[in-house]
This record gives sequence, C-alpha cells and structure tokens, in this order.
Amino acid sequence: MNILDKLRREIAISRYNFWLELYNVGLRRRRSLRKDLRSNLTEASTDLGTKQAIANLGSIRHLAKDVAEGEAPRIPWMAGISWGFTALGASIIALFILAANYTNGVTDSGVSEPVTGSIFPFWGSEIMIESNTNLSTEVSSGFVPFTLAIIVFILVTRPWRLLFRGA
Amino acid sequence: MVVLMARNDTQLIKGVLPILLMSLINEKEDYGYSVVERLQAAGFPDLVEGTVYPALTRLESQKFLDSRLVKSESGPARKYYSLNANGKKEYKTRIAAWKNLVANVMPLVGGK
Repeated sequence: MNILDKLRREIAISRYNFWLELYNVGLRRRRSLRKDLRSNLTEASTDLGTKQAIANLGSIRHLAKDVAEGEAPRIPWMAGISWGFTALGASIIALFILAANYTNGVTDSGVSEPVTGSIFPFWGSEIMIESNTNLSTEVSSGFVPFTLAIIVFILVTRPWRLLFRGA
Repeated sequence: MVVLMARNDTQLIKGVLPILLMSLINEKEDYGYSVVERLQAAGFPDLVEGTVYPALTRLESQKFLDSRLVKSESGPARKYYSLNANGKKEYKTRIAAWKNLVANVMPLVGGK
C-alpha cells in the first residue's frame, strides 16, 4: 500500500471515528472498531484497490450509524461535566460584566450612600456598592449560574437513558 | 418470451443476513473482509462491506459472537469472530424459524 492509499484509508477511518463519536460510541469501543476497519480495509485494498475498498463501505456516516445502533447507550459524563463548567464560567463572566456596568451606573450618578440591588436576569443575585470614599463592590451570584450549569449537564448527559439501558 | 432472472432482494437479504453470518462463522472462525468474500462467492455479490460489518458488530454486541485479534503478515491484526455457546443456541433458533417460514411460504408461492 503506497502513502496515498494509506492516507485515503486513514481519512476514511478518521471520518468513521468522527461519526461514531457523534453517534455516542464510547472511546474504547471506537478504538476497537477503528482497528477492525483498518484491518479489513487493508485486506480489501490488496484485492480491490483502496479506492474500491473504501467505496464498498458505502456512506461512512451510515456505516457508523448502523454500527452505533447495535451498541449499548453510553452516558457522556465527561462531556456533561465539561459543558456544565463551561455554562457556569460563561454565566459568571456575564454576571461580572453586568456588575461592572451596574457599578459604572452608580458611580456616574454620584450617589454617596451605599447602593444594593440585584442583576437581571440573575435572580437571587445581590450587588452592594459603596462609593463615598473608596469604591467597593460586592457581588453574590445567586442560584442562576449553578442552576444553569446543572441544566446543561443534564441536557448533555440525558441520564434518564440509564433507565432504558438493556430494554 | 419473457425471461425471469432470479435476483436477490436487498431487503430480504438484510433480513436473513444475521443467519448467513452466523452460518459462515459457525463453519469456521473468520474475520470481516473474509466473511464478505465468502458471502459474495456464495451468490450474494451485492453484499458489500458497508452492509456486512455493521451486522457483524451487532451480533458481537448482542453477545452471539466472540472475537480475538490475530496478527496478520499483510497488515494490522485481524479480528476473528467465532460463534459462542449463546450464539450457537440463537443460530439454531433462527434456523428453525427460517425453515418454518419457508415451509409456510412455499405452498403459497407455488413451491413444494
């Protein structure tokens, strides 16, 4: 097999891996399926040529989908955790940006008394600004960022699928 | 004169593909591409890798096939499938169901 054919084979395997991942096949199983396909493609390439061997697989996406259909559903815990943290981080950044604007508004208005309030749409959040001598701002996030992170985690992992496992 | 040529109906073949695969693997332990070649040689030229590989992995996921990697001189290690005890039992059940189906269908289509 020459370098071009090896490249064709590896591109086909990468596409297969991509779709398998998208169809939620676990890492270890994907590795095994990739090895299997690589071995079969190498055998077929010897007989038919790499182009024909890859063509005989049909649509790589359909192949991955058909293979994934026979697999036990996998709960993507790590993806859920990482997306949950991403949502938490993004909402906290948004909270700080809104808090900074709120603080600017208060200082621009020239109020000397301490000001307290909450930041929309962060229900349960609290901001306290004192600007008489030194500017100080205290912000508490409330429940929105954590609730959002939990919702994102649940939507990504869909843990209720555990109930249907093996059904 | 109208000549009717026998052709393999794709949907029909897909329905019996697990039985064909189990039958071939019951004969001898084998790997994916070799199974495809044997199927094509047996009169199923339309059965290509894209159809056979998912069916094989499904049988493996259903715990009817065991697999092991065997080093190959021509390239990466081959994954050989064999029918395990559970698979042999399932194979017998499916063969009985197939024979029953054929026995019921044949009189209706003018066969014996």
